[in-house]
Amino acid sequence: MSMESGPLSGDEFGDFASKVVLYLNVTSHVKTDADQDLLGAKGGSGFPYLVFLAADGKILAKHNYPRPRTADGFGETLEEAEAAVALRAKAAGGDADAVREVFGQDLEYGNLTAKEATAAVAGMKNLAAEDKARYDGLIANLEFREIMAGINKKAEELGDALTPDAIKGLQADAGKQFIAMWTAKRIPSGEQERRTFYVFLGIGGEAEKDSAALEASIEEMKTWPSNPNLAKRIAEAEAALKALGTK
Amino acid sequence: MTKTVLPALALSILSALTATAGPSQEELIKKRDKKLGEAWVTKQPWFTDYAKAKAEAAKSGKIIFTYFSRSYSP
Repeated sequence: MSMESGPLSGDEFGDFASKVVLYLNVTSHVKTDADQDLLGAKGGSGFPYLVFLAADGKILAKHNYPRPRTADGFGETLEEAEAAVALRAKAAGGDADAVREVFGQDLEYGNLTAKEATAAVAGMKNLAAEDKARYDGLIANLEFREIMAGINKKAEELGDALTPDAIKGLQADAGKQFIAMWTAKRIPSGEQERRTFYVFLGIGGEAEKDSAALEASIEEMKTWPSNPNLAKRIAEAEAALKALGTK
Repeated sequence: MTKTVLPALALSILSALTATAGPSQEELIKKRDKKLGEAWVTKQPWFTDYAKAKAEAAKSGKIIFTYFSRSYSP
């Protein structure tokens, strides 16, 4: 990868490296290698992916575009991570505003489980409606990721038995769980999460013969920018809806 | 930027299918070891053990710079 022959090889990186603990996680698909699911657990879905972590593993900052992948750019994100550490110290000291801000960061970064986050919000007094709505969307993102992590784990466990039919079964399994979320109005607020959610909602709707879920999936997909894969999926979903005897 | 409908997380299920049908474990181990032997890795004190990296961070008070890469394909 160009980062490895570029920014991570330069002398400037050495200066930056002295300020941090360097941890390299390599997805190898070697069955005996540890932490092969850490990328997903830390919110990554592709390579390269860079995050700054506290000693307890919580995400303090993510290095994202448009910040450059250079030693200077890493230094800027390190400053952001250091500010997060200071904020957590303030929260630990009882500062109410800092506690709220840390909670918001933990939700954004997936440092909490959906269950932990739901319990925390339930205990918050005088929560503004706007904040509650924002938290609900972020908690739905966590719930979504937990469901997908479970599905991905089942896929890995199947190994050679992961056939196209098995994949469809797993997608329907996720979709069934998303139907429960959608029925309870727990909709993810993240763009990537929301798109997967609605696609699988439709797949779950087909499997469960739930025309309302299938219709909701189609309605949502029709609002996205068109592309051939999307058009194909919408056509499949509409055919399935017709077969259910609705429309 | 247009995003494909089939999302990254769903693709991870499909890539698992590809991985099991592809290189052998021996080949994957060779690729991993080649990656870990590259100059950019050996030049700096990279931890490759997550637990040890966290322990070092706790001891030193430093933040962990975590870089995710792959070895199973370029």
